[in-house]
Amino acid sequence: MYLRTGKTTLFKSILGLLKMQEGFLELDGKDMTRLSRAQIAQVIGYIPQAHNPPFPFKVIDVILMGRTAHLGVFASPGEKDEKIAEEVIDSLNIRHLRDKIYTEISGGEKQLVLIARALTQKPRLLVMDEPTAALDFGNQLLVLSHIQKLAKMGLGIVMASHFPDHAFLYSSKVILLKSGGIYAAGHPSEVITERSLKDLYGVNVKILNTGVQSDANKEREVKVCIPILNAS
Amino acid sequence: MKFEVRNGTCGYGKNTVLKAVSLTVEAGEVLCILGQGRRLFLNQFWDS
Repeated sequence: MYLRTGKTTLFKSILGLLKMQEGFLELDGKDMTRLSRAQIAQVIGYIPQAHNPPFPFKVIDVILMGRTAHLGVFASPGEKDEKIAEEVIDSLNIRHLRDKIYTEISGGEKQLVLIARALTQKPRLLVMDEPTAALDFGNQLLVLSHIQKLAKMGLGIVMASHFPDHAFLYSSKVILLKSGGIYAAGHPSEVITERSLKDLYGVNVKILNTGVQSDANKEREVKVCIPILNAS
Repeated sequence: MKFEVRNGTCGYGKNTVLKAVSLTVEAGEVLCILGQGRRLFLNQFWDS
């Protein structure tokens, strides 16, 4: 019996932290399993959930850590790296956070700083582990709108989420994991159904069309999931 | 940019967590992965 659905395991494999037992990882048709950790980090940026590190780093220093994959073992960030970090700060509109202490800013601000750190790697693919977890409503939408902008800039994004609504709002496609494998995959409106949510989460959900167009795709109508809480 | 996992099976040691996963992400796409058990994952792996 599978106790885990595998999102994080899959992410570790994508990032090369965990060797896949079988199968292929390819970028533009090239086998990625032959690349070093540093080479993978130059292509794939990983954004964990916001957390508090043990040291009160300044935000700019946290962001500059993203340049590590491009530096030699004993090298420290130079002018070129600082310029890249400053450009990323402007692109995410977080200049007001630049000199603050990372441990003292809000959860949503931390998440934006972690996105900035990943962007300084100059990746082509971003892997995000539940980027909106533990954020309040406003910060969830702030972070999601930035993710949407990054996709429009041409980055590929793989994002774990526990909110089907977010998949309706921002994703181009969805994978549902269950019992150690893919339960369903495809366009959000085809894959996220009342039946599939019942199978995945064990709860009754009604999916409603809002009549509002999606930011991600103007031709798509946003849907929302309403839990049906029957008293028993 | 085209990133692809083909028939990926992954896990820890001899334990398989996910079997036969295939996915493709191209530039400009957002792929969302949904599924049960996220806290279990995070506590067990990332925070350990």
